[in-house]
Amino acid sequence: MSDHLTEEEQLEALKRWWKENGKWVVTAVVLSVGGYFGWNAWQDQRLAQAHTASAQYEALLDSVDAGEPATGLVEEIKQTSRNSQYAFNAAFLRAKAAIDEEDLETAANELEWVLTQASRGPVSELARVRLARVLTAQSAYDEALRLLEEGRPSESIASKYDEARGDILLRQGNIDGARAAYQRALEGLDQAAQNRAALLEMKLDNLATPATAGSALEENAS
Amino acid sequence: MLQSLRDNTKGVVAGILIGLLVIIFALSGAEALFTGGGSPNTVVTVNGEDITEQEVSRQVNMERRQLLSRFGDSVPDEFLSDERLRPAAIDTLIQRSVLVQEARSKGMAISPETLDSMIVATEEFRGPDGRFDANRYQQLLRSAGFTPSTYRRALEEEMLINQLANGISGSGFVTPAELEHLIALSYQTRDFQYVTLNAERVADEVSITDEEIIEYYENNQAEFTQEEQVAVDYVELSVERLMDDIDIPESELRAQFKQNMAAAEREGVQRRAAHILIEDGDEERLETVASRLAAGEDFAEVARETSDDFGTRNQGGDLGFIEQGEFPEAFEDRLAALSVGEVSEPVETEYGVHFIKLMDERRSDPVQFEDQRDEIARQLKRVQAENQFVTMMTRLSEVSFNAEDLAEVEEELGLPVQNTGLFGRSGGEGIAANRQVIQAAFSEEVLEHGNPSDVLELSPSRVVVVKKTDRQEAFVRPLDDVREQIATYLEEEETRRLLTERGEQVEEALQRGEPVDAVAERWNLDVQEVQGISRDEADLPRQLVNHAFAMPRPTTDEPVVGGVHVGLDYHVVVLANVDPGTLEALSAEERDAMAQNLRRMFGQQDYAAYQDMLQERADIRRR
Repeated sequence: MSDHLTEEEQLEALKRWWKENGKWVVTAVVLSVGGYFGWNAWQDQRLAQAHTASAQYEALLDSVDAGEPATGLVEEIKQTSRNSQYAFNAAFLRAKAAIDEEDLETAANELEWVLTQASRGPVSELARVRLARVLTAQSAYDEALRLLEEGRPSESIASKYDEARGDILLRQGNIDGARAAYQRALEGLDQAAQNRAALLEMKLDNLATPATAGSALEENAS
Repeated sequence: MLQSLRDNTKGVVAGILIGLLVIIFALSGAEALFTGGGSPNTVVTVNGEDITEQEVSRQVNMERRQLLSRFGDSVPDEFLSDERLRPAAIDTLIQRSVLVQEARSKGMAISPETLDSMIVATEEFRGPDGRFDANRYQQLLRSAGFTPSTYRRALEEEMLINQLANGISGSGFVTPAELEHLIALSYQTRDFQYVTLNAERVADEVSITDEEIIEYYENNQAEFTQEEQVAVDYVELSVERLMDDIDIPESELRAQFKQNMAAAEREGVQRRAAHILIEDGDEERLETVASRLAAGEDFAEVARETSDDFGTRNQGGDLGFIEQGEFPEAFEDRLAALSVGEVSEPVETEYGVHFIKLMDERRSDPVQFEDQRDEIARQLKRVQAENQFVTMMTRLSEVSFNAEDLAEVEEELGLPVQNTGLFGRSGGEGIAANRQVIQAAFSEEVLEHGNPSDVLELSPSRVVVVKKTDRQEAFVRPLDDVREQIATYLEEEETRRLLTERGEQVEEALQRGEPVDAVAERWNLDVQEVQGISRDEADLPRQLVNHAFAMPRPTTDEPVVGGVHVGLDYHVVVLANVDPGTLEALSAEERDAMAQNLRRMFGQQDYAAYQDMLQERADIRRR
């Protein structure tokens, strides 16, 4: 045991150890300290970037309020911080403005951009169903359906997916499919969403056949 | 040997690792590694972030204030109680926390400069001169339970949420295809014929026998059960009522007035101050400011260029007239000792180091006794009444505890005994509507043992004691009380049944393809023919219109027939035609309005779904 080691031997052992491992220890220390400062610097830079994007985004909201398209600002924000919510929101707002002008092409591109940039999550799920709706308006029904089939949506947005699917199937002439989709959309609905329920019921009622009408009529009668 | 060498090297490596940790701790602060979760104050944690009791109570207070400012004093106390407001307040805080965390993690941030300019631009923080008023700012914050730093944080979070919401909710859209589809549906019109079978048609056939009534009564006893009721005597003690019986002699009022005036004289000097704030108290900066002021430079100019108080520096450091107690003592004491125009040496307070200048002084106008009389009387009465209230409350509790009868209390304390009359567990009128009174009245002590209740504190200045005078067990109301009600109900049921039967015969005939006129003639019915009926048609009964719009659209040969009850009447509808709404049928304004509505609605729905998705993913732990 260590009692058997003389001081000299101990020192010798330490030296030997240092010779073998010293390089690694020094590298590790340098890397950690460097990493720490690097991380801090990177954080600071990110924060500065976020502040810039934030100010640009506020300017964008102002011009949206004023009814201007502000395409330049959108591009700037996407440049400043391409993976931030600012960039996604800017693209969403640009898509909306484009649809108002009936420029579906641009809208589809913007939504596509969000879909490729955003990691899986609420933003991408929202972008997906919005893109599907635009594709539907462009009569690209198969592509829109395929998009909606990619992965299962979160419970909270499933009803939107079903409604979009119903709209597509209706346009393809698949009345039964559309009815089933609307029905699912209505069932998946939050109790509080009365506006949405009213719209869905309207869509559903319009597809009534003598066979399906029975339940709806009874409901009315009671 | 080998073993010991290995032990030693382990020691060295451990030593180096610990050295590294020391460096990291020194750089970042050790507490950063050990915080988060589990403080006793925590109500909920959202993804590891704590929501504290203080935040919850601040939110509860905020919601209470909002309710009060919206509905005034008409809001019953129980709606403002902590228990009532708390769950919703916690939900709100969870929701906010989830959104803010998402915003931050997705690279959103608000710069300190933006927050500064937001605060300075806030309407509520402006003084009478329309400029940012630092006093007002501090005062309002304090009254809302904020410190400047918690307020900044709340404001930052508010802005983050706003940015998030604006992007997602504000980008809601409606595609041309969707708009067309929805217009076609909402502006759809339908043409149909209908016949009405009304109650008179079967009136002769409806007769309800006594046996049927009795049978219904016996089978539906629950429906006719009167819940348990209780009546209580009560004595009420309140500061307000005590005040009514107090008379303050005129001489005392005048004496009080004089006293007030003297105090006003002492405190009534209002001083308008300006200051230059050096937050870090840096010697060099203080030196610079001092020498510039000593050189006779304009105080306002120096303030503009050097003060750390962003709220006032652009107004030459002007704080306006300040009330006593608004600023730290050291500040106010020094200010009081200045003469107008004089500037102080550096004064240290919790905010930093100030150079203070007294800008102006004013004394309040003399007040007339007559203007103050009622207010003084009220205050004096209240003080006396509050004293009486405390002693009487103790007496009330002693006397009522042993009282056979509340009349004893009336005798002892001179408080009138009143009675509530019978009420059930859902409450009665007046004091019997109060939750605490109901609970006490139905408590074992009062209801079963017949004792007086404890002293119930309805509010800090109002208490009451109740004692049972009458109790009525739950009972089934006698048949004679409800006979008529049952008869009417059974008659209506029978009428409906008979009309449905007839209606279905009519439907069958029509379904077989018999012409409507022929069918109508056979049963002696009037045929109503309506065209271009829209969903919101107001001239026809709502259920009838809804029914017509829920019917399948008519195909080539088979008629579409359906019956619906409206009240007692039965309508049979024959749907003739469905016309879709068209874009052209709408004016440009109507179309735009509809598109705008849909955009907003879809945007809000998307944002709601987005928030729900975030909550779905969040790790929310209630403690």
